Amino acid sequence: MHRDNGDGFKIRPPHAGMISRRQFLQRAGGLTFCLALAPLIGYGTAEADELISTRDKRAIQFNAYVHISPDGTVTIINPAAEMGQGVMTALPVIVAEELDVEWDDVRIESSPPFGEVYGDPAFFNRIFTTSSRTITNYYERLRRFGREARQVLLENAAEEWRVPVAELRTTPSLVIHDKTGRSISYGEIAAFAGTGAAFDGGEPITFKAPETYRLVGKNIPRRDLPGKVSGSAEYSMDARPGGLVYAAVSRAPVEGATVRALDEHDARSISGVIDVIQRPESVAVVATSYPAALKARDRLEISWHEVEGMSDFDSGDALQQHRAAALDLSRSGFPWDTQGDISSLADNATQVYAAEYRTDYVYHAQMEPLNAVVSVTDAGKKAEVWAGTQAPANTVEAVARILDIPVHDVKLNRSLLGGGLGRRTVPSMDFVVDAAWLSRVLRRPVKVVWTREDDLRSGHLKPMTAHYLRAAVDTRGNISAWQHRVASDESIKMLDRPSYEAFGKVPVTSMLGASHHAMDRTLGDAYDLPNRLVEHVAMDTGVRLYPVRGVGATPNNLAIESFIDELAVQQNADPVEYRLRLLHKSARGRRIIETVAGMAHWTRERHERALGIAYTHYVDTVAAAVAEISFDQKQEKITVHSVWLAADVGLAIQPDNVRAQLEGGIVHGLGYALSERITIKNGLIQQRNFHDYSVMRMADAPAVHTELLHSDRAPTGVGETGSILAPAAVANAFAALTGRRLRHLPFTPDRIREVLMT
Amino acid sequence: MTDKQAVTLSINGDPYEVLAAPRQTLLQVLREQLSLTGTKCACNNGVCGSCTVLADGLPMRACLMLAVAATDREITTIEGLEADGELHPVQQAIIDHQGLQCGFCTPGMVIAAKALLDSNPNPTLNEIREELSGNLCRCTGYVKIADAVLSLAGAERGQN
Repeated sequence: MHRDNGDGFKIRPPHAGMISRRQFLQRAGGLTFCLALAPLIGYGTAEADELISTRDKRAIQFNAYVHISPDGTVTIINPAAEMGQGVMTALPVIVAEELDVEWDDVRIESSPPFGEVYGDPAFFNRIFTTSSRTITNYYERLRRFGREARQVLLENAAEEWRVPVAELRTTPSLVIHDKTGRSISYGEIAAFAGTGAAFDGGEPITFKAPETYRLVGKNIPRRDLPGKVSGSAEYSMDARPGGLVYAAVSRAPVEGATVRALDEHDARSISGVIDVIQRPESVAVVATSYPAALKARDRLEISWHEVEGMSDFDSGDALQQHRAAALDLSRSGFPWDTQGDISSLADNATQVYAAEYRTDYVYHAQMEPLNAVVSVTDAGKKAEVWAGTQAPANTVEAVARILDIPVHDVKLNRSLLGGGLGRRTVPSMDFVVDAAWLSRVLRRPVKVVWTREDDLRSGHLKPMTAHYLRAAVDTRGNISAWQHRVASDESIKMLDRPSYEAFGKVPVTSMLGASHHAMDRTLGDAYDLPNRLVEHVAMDTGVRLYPVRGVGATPNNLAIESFIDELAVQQNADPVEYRLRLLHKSARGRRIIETVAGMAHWTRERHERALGIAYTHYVDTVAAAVAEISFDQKQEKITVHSVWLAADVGLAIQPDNVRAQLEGGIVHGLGYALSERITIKNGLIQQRNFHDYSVMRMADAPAVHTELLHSDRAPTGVGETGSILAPAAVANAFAALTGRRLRHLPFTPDRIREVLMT
Repeated sequence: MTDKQAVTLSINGDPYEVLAAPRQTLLQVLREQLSLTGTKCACNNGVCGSCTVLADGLPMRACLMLAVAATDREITTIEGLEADGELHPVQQAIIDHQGLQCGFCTPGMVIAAKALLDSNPNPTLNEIREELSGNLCRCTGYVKIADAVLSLAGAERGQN
């Protein structure tokens, strides 16, 4: 995204008749701002043109993100998936602020699935709405596109009025020339823009001063909300193209399994069944209605080939193996974060402490069960897809692959997502491809809807983890050596090879939140642990896995923050004071700890309740949470009464939405803390539905008090922060309350009982 | 197809006649036959609340209710809450408090909240939390949803 702001570009007048108005403008924008033109690779440009043609043929594309119609409508392109986190509004707000447009004039439209200019720079310029990073990663680019489009408007007005650009200013949707008292709307400029006269494009970009923001930081109402409360919002599950038929699919129970034998006789006898169609890894029943398809699928007799190592896979046994691997110091791990010298761990003169922690498998549990609609047309040569996807290019490529057609011939309708949480990124797009091949066979649109039971059965889980931590503490109470061993599968290694390889085949998702050094802008916001070895011990279970909200940072934070608390207890130090000491290099970190401690009245005595704190510096956000809990001995139940959360999120584009994300993350994370758990027996996920996979319910959710600490820093990620902090805060509160340490997530009644009895 | 029978339904004040199999749920009829897709299906097991509708004013799980059992009852779905183009106060409060994120649980949550306020116009926060606990929100917006409903406590009396 480098470009030279130093030199003024001179745009030459085009030769009349040789170039269309729109092309000229694109060129002007492109030459002035090379980012706007060059990156439209793949079918970005064609798609962008198609967007315009379906909207308003007179709309002018100012750049890849801004199109303006003569009627004044400004269309801003949203590249990210809207799955509840509010980006379809927040990203356009960034553009609109710098464009200086009246928000009511703005229409929002989804970007094409491809095109480097729409992709996330941190994800190899592919659209990947994951990892809490959307706002952070697009911020700089989008404000530039907004500002650049404004500059083109100014230049066109200057040319029209024959006045210097420098004499012009904008108020929302208007360009104004104060000297002559003239004004012209953005729409009016669009009507003549690019008439062929030369104009200067050389002004270096000056962004708005933050104190003049009208949209950023002002809580602009999310555009997706009215349709969501009225029931008119369309998810892919609601798509109903003409001639639609429904499929229920039995998919391989474990990765790599194929059909050994199939008896479909009874299924075919069900009224409404159109066909039973088989592929190596799935058997589909297609019917005129979904209930008929489900009923018939129940009558299928399918046996699957066994996959070596999976037919007797047991998650309890596997966790013991993880644990043994973490504890086995002779088994060296991948050195993720190393500095200094940890030999004092072997020094008799120092006090050495050690602890273990474990976490179970977790399931995404997005509210909308996975589904897709695909209509294959033109004798199998083209496809139209309705799907809610976090990685649209993955979706298009998966459909193109299974149909053996070029990606250009797959049209994706990017639906709203009824939750994503990572699941809808998986490159196999297992929830989309069945509809594609079935539609090709049947020559009509097919909707595949997974039941909740399907969704669990084909769950791509958050890996189980085992942690072994050791710390040497010198005579002054300082941590002179720190070792943290994480034994786990790397969640993208098996099922997202492209990402795994692109990230250099390192355990990138496993080790998130485990480092104590500058990953990015959090330089110095980690605890000061100068001598450390943080390593990953690779497990390869063959279980289907994928990142889930919080990724590796949730288990890592549980381990680190629990261990820090245990060390504080050993030193007779207050957990808040102890953390402040470890953050002596980070003013930002100390401010967060002090703020949250103040919010929670940390030092106040509690009756039959206790507080626990946890701190994180994940995706540039520095945050801490305090949980207040009580424990009911009879019911063996932890109740979380309140959570206080302080977060430094940099510039908050939509502050209320940031709060919603942080608070939602806390409640989600309390589910991780108290109940969420997947077990596997004989290779099969045991949980079936929400009755035995318990997520938090409203009655169990605490009051959450959030304070945002704003700064002029660029926006940082907030989608996962709460879910990372909550389990450790609860564990620490439980230890403060009972003197006993919970080491195995989730903290279910049986585990609590065990801890209290020993 | 022979096992299907004609079923007369009254939904959002409009009469409908559909052909439904004996075991077909109201949810399936709403979504697939009547294109009333505002009512969502997330568990099809009665444990998540996404498909909550009103039957004679009482909250019901449409995934557990047979279509044939819905005859002679006035069914209200999320599409039936708006009046004269205005959102229902519960819908507006949910927006105002940003009590939703992905929105998939929202129709069921709104209906459940309306049912609560209809039967108890002045609920306490704890009553709201208990009453809405059958409705899962994974994102999870519980705090703001409860705030939204609490903001209406006592407010409905004057209107009804």
